[in-house]
Amino acid sequence: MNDTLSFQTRKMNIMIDYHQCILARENNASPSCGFACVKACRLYGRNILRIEGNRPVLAITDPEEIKRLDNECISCEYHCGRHGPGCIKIDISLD
Amino acid sequence: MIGFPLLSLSLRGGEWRKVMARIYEYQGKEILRKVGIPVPEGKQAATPEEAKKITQEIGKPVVIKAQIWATGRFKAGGIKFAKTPKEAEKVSQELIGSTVKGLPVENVLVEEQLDIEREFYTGVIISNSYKVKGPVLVFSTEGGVGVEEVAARNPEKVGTSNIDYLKGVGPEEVNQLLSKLSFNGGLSPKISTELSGIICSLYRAFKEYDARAAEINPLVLTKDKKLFAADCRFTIDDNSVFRHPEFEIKVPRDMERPPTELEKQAWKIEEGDYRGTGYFSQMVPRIEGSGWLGFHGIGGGGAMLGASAFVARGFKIANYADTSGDPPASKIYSVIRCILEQPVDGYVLMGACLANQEQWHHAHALVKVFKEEAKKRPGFPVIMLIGGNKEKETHEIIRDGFKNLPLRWELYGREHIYNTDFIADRVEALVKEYQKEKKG
Repeated sequence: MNDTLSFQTRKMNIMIDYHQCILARENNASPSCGFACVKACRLYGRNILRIEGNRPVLAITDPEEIKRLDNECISCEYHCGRHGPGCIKIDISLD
Repeated sequence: MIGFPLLSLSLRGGEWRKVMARIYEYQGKEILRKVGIPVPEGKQAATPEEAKKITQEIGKPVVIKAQIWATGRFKAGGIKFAKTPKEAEKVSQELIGSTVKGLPVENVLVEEQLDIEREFYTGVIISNSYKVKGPVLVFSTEGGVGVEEVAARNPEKVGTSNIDYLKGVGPEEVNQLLSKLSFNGGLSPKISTELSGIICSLYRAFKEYDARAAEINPLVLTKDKKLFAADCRFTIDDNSVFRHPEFEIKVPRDMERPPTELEKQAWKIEEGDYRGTGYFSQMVPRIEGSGWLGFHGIGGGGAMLGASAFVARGFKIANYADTSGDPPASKIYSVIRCILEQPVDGYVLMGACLANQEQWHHAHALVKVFKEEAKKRPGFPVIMLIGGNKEKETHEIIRDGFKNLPLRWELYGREHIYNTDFIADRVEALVKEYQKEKKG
């Protein structure tokens, strides 16, 4: 299985490192991070992420649809860092 | 070139300044040429040698005009005269590379001198007055320098007419306007007809080029009875700039100077992204000395009160930034990044209103930027006033995110919305500490 999930929004590149991800590592139905990234995506964002096989994956797979839908809330990065290992990295393009 | 006073009054409040992109006089003259309005023979020059060559081609005494986005160029020394090509070269050498009204002169317009008998003013300007909300045609029988005073001194010399946009402007409308005015010594039928034609053509230019303002001042009648647009001013509607790539407007906002590199970069944040506002502009093109604040507002009016309070305490505002209309956190992040690109002694978020946008997007952006920045600038002052929708959650995110960051940060909410002086006091205290620490 791929060790990194990487996807583009309009102005951002989001990377989730499964090596560090508690969900993926523990393969646990109730991980210590409490699914922080997916919860943040529901509360602040547009449900781009969902849980599948005990790891965060894209709920939408069409790249153009991701760009259209995502509101670039950057909350997954913060809340993963706050409640989990900080395995999400977001690069924001200034162009 | 001078904006007309009657309409300036109706456009007060800064509203019109937000929606216009300026073009240079030489570009405006090109428009006038295209619609058939006579302009003096001349060309734009970027070097003294070019100015000399153009003067040789014209073969007459010339006027050399600094191409800057400012009014009152003549009084500021930005318009000079030359009788010979050699003199034109010398004068251009003085102007090109100099600053006029604080603006750098990169180009001059070299034009034939006119033998002036009379000067008029004419313009088509969008009036934002709630009574008008459309184009207004203006004509003054007295133009040139000081046209602002004409309306007050001799109101009978100035006429205005609201334009029916669907009908446009034809000879009938123009004649109706001119017939109300008092022309000293009258006008010959030939000149009157030509004048009418010029005004109709000016309206055509106004409409075809999506202008917010199209003015000719002075519209000159020469001693040999010819009419020329001696100077002009065009501003293009920001939202129409994309339709006019020929003007090469890099940042479609009303500014009195060309955009800085940072402003060009900041424009990329906004360009084509209609998700809320991510405005950024610098107050001065170059920041020198200390005491500059990076300023970030949410909701312009309240934020301005804050800016005034900081200026009253001796601070200088490096930039104005605004993130309103519920922009995404990515956009807010990029705007804050631009603010911090400047050599500032502190960052102030002046969310001086109870905004209904979800403020937690600001919280996530602030935390991300300052987590990245904190180590590079230990002790840097960050003062945040943010209230409104999702304020409690916003403050929680900021408090958690800023915890343990090596910054001087303070966070305030709705209880301080009306207490601008308190925020200014805190900014002053934190910045002074930081400056002292940096020196020590």
